[in-house]
Amino acid sequence: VIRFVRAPAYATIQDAGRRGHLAYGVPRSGVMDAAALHTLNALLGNDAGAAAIEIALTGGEMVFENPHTFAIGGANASIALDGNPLESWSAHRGAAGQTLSIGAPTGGRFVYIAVAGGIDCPVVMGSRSTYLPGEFGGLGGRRIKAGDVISIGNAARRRRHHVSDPLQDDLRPKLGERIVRFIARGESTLERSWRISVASDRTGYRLESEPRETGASIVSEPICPGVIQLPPGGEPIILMADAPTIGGYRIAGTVISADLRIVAQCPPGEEIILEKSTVARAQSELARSSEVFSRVREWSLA
Amino acid sequence: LNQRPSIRPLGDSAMTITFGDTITEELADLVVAQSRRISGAGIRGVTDIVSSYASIGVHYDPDAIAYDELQARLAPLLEDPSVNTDDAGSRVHHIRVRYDGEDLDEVARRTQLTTAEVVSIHIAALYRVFVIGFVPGFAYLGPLDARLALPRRDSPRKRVPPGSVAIAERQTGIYPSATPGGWHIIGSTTERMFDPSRLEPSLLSVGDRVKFES
Repeated sequence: VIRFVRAPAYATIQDAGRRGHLAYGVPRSGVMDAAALHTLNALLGNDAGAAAIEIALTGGEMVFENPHTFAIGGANASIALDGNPLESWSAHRGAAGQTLSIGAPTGGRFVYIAVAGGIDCPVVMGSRSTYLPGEFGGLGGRRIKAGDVISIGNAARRRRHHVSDPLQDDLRPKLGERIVRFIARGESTLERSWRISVASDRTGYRLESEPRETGASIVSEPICPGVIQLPPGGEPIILMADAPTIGGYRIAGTVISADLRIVAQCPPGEEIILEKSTVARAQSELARSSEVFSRVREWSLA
Repeated sequence: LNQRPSIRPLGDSAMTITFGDTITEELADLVVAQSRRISGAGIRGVTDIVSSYASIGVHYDPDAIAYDELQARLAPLLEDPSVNTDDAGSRVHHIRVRYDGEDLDEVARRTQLTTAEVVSIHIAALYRVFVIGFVPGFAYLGPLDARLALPRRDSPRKRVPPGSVAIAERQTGIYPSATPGGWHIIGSTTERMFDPSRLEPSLLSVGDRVKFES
């Protein structure tokens, strides 16, 4: 059990997201940075999609009421256990009564606290993910606040202590112009540099650039996270984890799953470069990353 | 309608099957029939089938099935254009409404009808669930009688109470949860349209019919 003493401005429980309820307008939700979740879970011997705590905007402080093994990753953040600095992407042991403090995310947006055994909370429609607008999932469908007590599941026996340096390097959000690959729908003029707007949240990130694109309203079609919408105003929106299930704006393409985390971790004002890819390449990229995660997990388990 | 639907990727974990680009009952029947056919095929790796007005989204796990393989499984299913009208309207929901909405008077004024006429026109029709979206469990019902068609409100309300029965353009709907909304509220229901703790959280599915009662 972990108790929050000081809650971050934004903290929710998220896992790999919901499947099977899109037909009823229930968004997929889940973590914004799937690779970070998978890697931290692999390191702790958890299932790849076990629930973790997703933090943004500011840091927080929590106390271990029972001993737990945990790991922190995603964007950079200072971490300390009873005042002693700790490394991210490594498994650490928190003894009962010890205080874990996390600073505000830097160089990216989302930091994850994963715990061996996974965060436990009621499963709603097949997932522990919080969907704030619908007020369900996670802790009663809301953000974590000071005083909240978080339950932890049963942990597997494990031995590995940190993620390899090259993989860490791959996982740390990088600033500067990052290439984001997408699968175009029809003729595309999106292949250029875009600035992430401040109008960005878990539903979607708006992109800014001149000249504007030609957007349009359409008869609503199915959509999903990664879809690049072009509303009549001409400023593209990349849909994120909490995206609705259908949408009435022109679809210009879809960011490949492996690169969506690059967008997710991109702070407002930073630039990305959109580059065309194919379904075959996107799917082999996904297969490669799931291989990496299963290797990390194999190493980690005793 | 007789032309072949197009199958296109929607990223690397979903695809869109498009039958047309208009809102008609004929297309909606075809969408429901085909999505039932796809669902009935029980293709391994398919996680979600989402029906819209004239298209279907098939979401899948690329670890379980690749795009080409899924497309090859879907194409023959879609060659059957038959629509069994019996199962298109299989479920009819009777939903009790109190016509006490705060926009009812304004709707009557703008449509040059009496409030009693607005109510009797709205309650007379058997509506179809065309799509579900916007928020979990929000069903776009139609077609709404042309005499009641009004554009959305100029400024949307910040909070529409759950259970509000509202109209806009040629559509009507029931807000399942408290959300911002730009439709004209004409009534309310105590029916829970969406409840995450239920086995079937959404009361309505695409293709269902709704009959309002007072």
